[in-house]
Amino acid sequence: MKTFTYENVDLPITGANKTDGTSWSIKERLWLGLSLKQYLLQLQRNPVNWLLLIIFSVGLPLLLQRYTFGLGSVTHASNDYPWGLFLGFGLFGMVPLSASGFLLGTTVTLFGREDFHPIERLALLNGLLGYFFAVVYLEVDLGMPWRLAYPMVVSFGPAAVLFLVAWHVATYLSVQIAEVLPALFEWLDRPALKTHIKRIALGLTIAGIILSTLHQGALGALFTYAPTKLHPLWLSIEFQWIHFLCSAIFGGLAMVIVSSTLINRYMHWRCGDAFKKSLDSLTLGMAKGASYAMITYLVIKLVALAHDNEWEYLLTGWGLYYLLEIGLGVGLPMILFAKGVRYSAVRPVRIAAFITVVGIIWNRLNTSIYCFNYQIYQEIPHWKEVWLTITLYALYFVVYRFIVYRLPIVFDWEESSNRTSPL
Amino acid sequence: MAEKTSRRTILKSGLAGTIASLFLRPKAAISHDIKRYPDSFGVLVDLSRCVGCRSCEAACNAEQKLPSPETPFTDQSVFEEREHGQRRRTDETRYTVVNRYDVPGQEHPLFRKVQCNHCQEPACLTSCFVNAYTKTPEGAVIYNPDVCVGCRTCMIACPFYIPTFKYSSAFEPRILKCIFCYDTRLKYGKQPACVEACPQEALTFGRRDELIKIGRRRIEENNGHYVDHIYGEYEAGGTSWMYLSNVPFEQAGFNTEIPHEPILDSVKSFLAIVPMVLTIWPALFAGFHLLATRKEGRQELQHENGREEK
Amino acid sequence: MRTFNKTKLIISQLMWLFLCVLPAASMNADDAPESVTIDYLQELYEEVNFDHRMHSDMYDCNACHHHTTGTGAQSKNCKKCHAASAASDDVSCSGCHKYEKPVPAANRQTTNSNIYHIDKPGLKGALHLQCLGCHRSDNGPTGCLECHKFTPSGRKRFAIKN
Repeated sequence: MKTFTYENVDLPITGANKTDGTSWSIKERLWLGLSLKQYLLQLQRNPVNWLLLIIFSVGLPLLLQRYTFGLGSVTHASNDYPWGLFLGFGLFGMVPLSASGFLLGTTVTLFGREDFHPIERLALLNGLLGYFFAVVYLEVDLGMPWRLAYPMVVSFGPAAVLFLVAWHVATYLSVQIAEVLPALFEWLDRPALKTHIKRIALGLTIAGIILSTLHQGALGALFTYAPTKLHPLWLSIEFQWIHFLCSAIFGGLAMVIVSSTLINRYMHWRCGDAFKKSLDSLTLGMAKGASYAMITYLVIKLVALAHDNEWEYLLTGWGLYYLLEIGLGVGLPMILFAKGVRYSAVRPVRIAAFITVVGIIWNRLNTSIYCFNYQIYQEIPHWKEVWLTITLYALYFVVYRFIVYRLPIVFDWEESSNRTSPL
Repeated sequence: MAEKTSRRTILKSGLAGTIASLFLRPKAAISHDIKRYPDSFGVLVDLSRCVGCRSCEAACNAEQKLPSPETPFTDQSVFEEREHGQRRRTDETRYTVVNRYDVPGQEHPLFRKVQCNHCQEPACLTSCFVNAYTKTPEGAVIYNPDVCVGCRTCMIACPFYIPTFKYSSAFEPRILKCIFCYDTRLKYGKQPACVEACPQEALTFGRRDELIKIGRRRIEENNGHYVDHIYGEYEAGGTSWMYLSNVPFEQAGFNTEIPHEPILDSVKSFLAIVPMVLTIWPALFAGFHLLATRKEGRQELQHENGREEK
Repeated sequence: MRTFNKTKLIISQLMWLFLCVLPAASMNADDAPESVTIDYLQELYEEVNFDHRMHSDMYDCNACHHHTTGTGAQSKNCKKCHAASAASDDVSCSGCHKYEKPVPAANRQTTNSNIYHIDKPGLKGALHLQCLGCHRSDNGPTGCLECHKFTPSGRKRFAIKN
């Protein structure tokens, strides 16, 4: 795609009109302003697409198998480990990383930090797609996926934490869709529709904070339903929800850093000037926020240890593993973030963000699968379950890329006025 | 947002947000009131009497119309079966299993019947977000497959690892577990099939309160024979199926570290903060917003004043 | 003839007295039946012809009949009250242990003489609980099928194919 942007002065599409003043049709915008042949050529040239092809060639039949023959055909059908990777990675792993939506939305709309505006849309999109695909993973995991709406309309179990999660995710998805719609409206040349949403932006943001606080915490609280099954170091009856909420804060910020780094590096042609110019300083700004959240998290973890008097566990094998997870997943990136902010160096911050994302997923997988049922055998997921999980993540990647290629997420959309030459 | 926001707009949006969140508020704030039915039934399982004949398994299979097992119920080699180093557990073909434990110092092995314990405040029931479980006045914890979505949270919550999921079905999966023969017997005050079948009367059916008294009497009268504890009297908030044993319960495969409070109690720390967040957050963050944008507001006011003076 | 033999009368009366009183005092192994047919589980199992003579030759009556044969009691709990009890009218198992075991709550309403006998097993439980103890320690049959064979519905219940 990069090559095409060099060859053609009209590309990439950054506004409603071409350089000669005629407007792009929706079809052309969908095809990135390329002919079919050119489009297929750019697909071919990208090595990532070859990897995706391999993943989907096995993954899509597996998906079909799951729905035709039941969950038992792609998993080990364990009754002792009812939740596997679909929830462990897809739900518990992706939701904290999608906290970026409410974080950047709050920063810009509530705290009035307009300087974060260039990255706001990416964060909102990251959040929306993360939650959307968490629901996709859920639909693959649910025994009766066609009954997804039951807790909303058919039968209520209001005391259950999952009830809160279900309602909140559904509502929050709507909030996030509303927050990302302005980008869509711009792309469709209907900027007037944006005003309706702008009016309720503050309300949406506050609703977003409330909903996010509660459901990020609720996902943690789900594990308090199994106090006898989760290892004491990963379980805290009183603080589990705070742990999950706090880690979601720095997880979301780290994910935006990772995402923006990848987009800036591999989709540089797509990035607008404001985005490119401010990315480094915004990255440092987010790193600052993340490091505050991380030190808070470490303190609350310490409080939980003290509260439950779990010091002796630290000397066991599990204890060392716990210290490793916290040290590598939180402590190390926190130091790197702090150093980066202190010396205004973006590189350590970016490395730290990658480590943080891995650390979050590690923590969630530990809580839901590895340290779960620690007193009995360890279940190892079926290879099909692993492959399906990767397939769905690849699908998320494809959708993410599709939208960022087209909609004004990392660039500013030029409305009806004439397009100036690139740069 | 590049638009100028006046104080009025802020208050309007804040109010709109609050009202919206009030309507969106889930009912998780209301804690579920589990009634303790005083006359509910239970079963006392006396492990010292069980001989592993598996008549209970056979009777359950017939009563609940479960699929035929691979080997007959007379097959004693099933006691050797291990999956992942674990003895047999309930699954989609069996609601109850008997397991054998070779106890040191005892000539003959100990046998234990495993089935749903029909807790007084069941973890499965309190964790279910579609209210698929019901604790009946007779004491049975029953399941409604018509509302279940197959999320399997109940399987996570049950401290006894009882509910099983029909993973083999793509279009009609469901949770399967012992229902205390509610539909066919308990509703009418009759004892479940397994109790009826047991030749050793290892299973005693009756009102839960009476069974506790009987259990205590048995412990007292056979001084030294039984461990002085009725398992299930308080575990997980109390269960309807309780156990007497002549060997320490850990040696018979029981988890003796299950808290005496209902499982729901460990979730209440989180459930309690839900209404707090819902009520405090709107005001708190509206306040933050006002604080953060006060410079803007002041500038606007100055600008307005400047215009007025002209 | 008016002259009746007074001695004969006294002797016969004494004999009658002796014969009447004796059974109530205690029982003899010779009084025991040869065999007992246990036949109420006929749905799943065929009847058992229990060799009573063999058992009564090997063991005392009170090993199985608790304290009802007038021969004392073995169990410590029974001895508390029945150490010197006379023989009961009905010493059969089914005489006291009913086939339908009452739900424990109903026990509270039993008559005075049964106030102690709460938690009394039903007939099926009583037989198995009583028999299996010694069968285990003294190498008697312990497997289900070693004592009673299956009926066809028993084979079906236990999922025996063929």
